[in-house]
Amino acid sequence: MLEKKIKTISSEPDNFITYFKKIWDYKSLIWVFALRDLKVKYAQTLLGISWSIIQPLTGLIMYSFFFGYILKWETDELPFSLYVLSGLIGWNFFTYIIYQGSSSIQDSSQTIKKIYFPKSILPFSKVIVALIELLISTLILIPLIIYYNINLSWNIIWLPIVILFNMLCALTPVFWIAIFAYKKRDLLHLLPYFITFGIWLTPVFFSSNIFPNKLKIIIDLNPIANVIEMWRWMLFGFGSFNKIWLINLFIVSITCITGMYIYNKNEDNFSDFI
Amino acid sequence: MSNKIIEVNNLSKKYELHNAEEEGKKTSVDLWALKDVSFNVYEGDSLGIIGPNGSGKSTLLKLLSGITKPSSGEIIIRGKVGSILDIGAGFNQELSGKENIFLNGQLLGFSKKEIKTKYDDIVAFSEIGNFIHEPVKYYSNGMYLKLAFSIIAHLNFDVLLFDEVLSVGDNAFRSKITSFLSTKKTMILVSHNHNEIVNNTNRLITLKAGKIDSTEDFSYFNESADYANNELQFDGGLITINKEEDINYWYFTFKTEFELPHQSKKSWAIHLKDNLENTITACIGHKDKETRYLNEFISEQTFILNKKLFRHGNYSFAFYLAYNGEYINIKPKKKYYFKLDFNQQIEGEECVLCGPIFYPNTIN
Repeated sequence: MLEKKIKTISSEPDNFITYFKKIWDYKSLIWVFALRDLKVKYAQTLLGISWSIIQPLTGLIMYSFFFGYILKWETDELPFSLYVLSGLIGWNFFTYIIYQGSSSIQDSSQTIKKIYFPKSILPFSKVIVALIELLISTLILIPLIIYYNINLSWNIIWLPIVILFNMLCALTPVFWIAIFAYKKRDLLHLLPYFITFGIWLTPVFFSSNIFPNKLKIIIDLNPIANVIEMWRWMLFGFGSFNKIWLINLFIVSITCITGMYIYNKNEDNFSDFI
Repeated sequence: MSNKIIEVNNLSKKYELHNAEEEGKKTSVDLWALKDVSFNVYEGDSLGIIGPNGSGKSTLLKLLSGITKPSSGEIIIRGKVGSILDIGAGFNQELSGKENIFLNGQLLGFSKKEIKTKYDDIVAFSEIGNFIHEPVKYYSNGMYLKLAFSIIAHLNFDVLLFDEVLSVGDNAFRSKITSFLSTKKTMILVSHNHNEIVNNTNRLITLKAGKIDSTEDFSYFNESADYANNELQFDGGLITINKEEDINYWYFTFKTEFELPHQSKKSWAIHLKDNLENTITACIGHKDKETRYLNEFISEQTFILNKKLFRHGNYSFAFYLAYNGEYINIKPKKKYYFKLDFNQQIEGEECVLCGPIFYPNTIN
C-alpha cells in the first residue's frame, strides 16, 4: 500500500513540469491512438494503406499536368514533378496535422468525457500518423529521383530539423485553435479557408520567383513557405540557405510552447464543454 | 483500521449556464452540481451513491476519475482508479473486440504486456466467443457491456467506479457481475436501482441537490464473524443462532443484541435463500419494547421450516437491518450458511432426515 502512487485532484491546474511528466507517463497512448487512427482510416477498404500513396499521387499528377504541362511554369533546374512532389510532402504533412489535430478534441469527445488522459496526446498521435503518411509519400519520390537522375544533397542530414520545423508549424495553430475552439467552434470553420488560401502563399506548385520582389516578403514571413523551401534545399540542394528560416523556427517554437502552455491550463475544461 | 484509499474534502463543482433566461434576458447562472461534499473510502469498502437525477452523482464520479476538475476542494487518491462511466467508453466502433481490449486497456493506463496476460480471462468472462474478432459496431448493447466490464474486472485497479451501467446485460451475466463485485475490491457504485446498490455495498451516501443528504453504514454486519457456537459476532453486537428440530420441522431461533449509533426505529429481517440467492421465505423482527436504551437493539425471531418442503441443498440466511421501518433501506451483510442434507436415499414416504448440518461461511 505504501508504494502506491498518491494522486491529488484539486482545482489547481497542473504546472508545466507535472504536465510534461503526465504526458511522459501516457506516452504509449500516443502510439495507441496513432495505430487506432491508421487501422480505422483504412477499415473496410480494399486498397488499405495504399490509399496513402494515392492521395499525394493525384495531387502530383494534377499540379504537374496543369501548371507544369499546360501552363509551362518554370522551376529552375528541378524537374516540375519533382518540385511539386517535394513541396507536397511538406504541405500534406502540415495540413494533415492541422486538420486532424484541431478536430481531434471533438472527434474523441466520447472518450474525453469518460476517461482521463492528457489531451495533448491527441495532436501528438496525429503527428505520428502524419509521419507514417510522409514516409509513404517519399516512396513516390524514389522512382522520380532515379528517373530524372538527380543527386541527393548532403543537406539531407538536416532532415530531422526540417521535420521538426514542419511539425511545429502545424502544431502551433492546432494548440491555439483548440484553446478557443472547445468553447466556440468558429475557428474550426475558418480553418479550411485558411488552408486553401495558404497554399497560394506557399511555393508548393509554383516557384517563389513568380512573386514580384516587393511581395517576396510574404514568402519570407510565412513559416510554412520556409519549411517547403527548406525541404527542397535539404533534399536537392535547391536554392540557398536563408537565415530567416532560423528566425522563423525560433518564433514558431516559442508560439508553439506558449500555445501548449495555455492548452494545458485549459484542458481540464474540455470535458465540460465539448 | 483499514487504509484510506480515497479522501474527499469539501469538494465542489460549479457549472456555468450561459443560456439561462431570466425575465426574457439571457444571463449566466451558476449551477453547483456538487457543494462541500466530504467523505472517505477505505480499503475493501464498497460505497453506494444514490440520489435523484441531477443530484450530482455522475459529476462526483467524473471528478473522482479525473475527467473534470473540481471548482474547489480536493480529492486524494492512493492507488489506481478504474471506471466504467459509460458502456464501452473509449471503444472504437471500427475495431474488433480484441483490438478494443488492448485499446481500452492501454487507455486505462495498462501496458500491452499486462493486458496480454489477462487477455484470455477477459474473453472467457465476457462470453463473447467468436465475435471477439468482429468490429464492435456489430455488437449488441449487452455484448458491449460484457466486454467493457470484463476488461475493467480483470485489470488490477485499486478502486473501481461504476455509473448506472450494471442494469444492462441478461440475468445470468448480472449475477456474474454481482458475484464479481462481492469479491474484496474497493469500489464506488452509482445507481438508480436501489436494490442493486443495497445488495452490493456496505455504505450508502444519498446525494440531494449536490449535497450529502444522508449516509448509512452497514459495516456493523461486515466485521469478521465468530462462528463458534453458532454465534455471529459483530463489532456492534451479536447474533445467536439456535437450531432445534423435531420430526417435521426445523426451528431456527435468531437473537440479536446490538448497539447501534442510529437512534431511529429499527427492525430487522432474515431471509432464507437457496443457492441461487432467491429468497424462499423471510421474517421481520422489531426491537423489543423492554430495551433499556434507545440504541439497544434486542430482538428474537424464530424460523420454523417444514422439512417436507425442502430439497437437500445449500441454504443461507441473510440478515437485513432496516432503519425507520423503511424496508427499502435494509441491507444484507453477513450470510449464515447451512446445508439441508438428505444423505440417505429417499424411499417412498419414509426417509431419514439428517439435516440441517451447519457450515457457517462468510460471503465476501
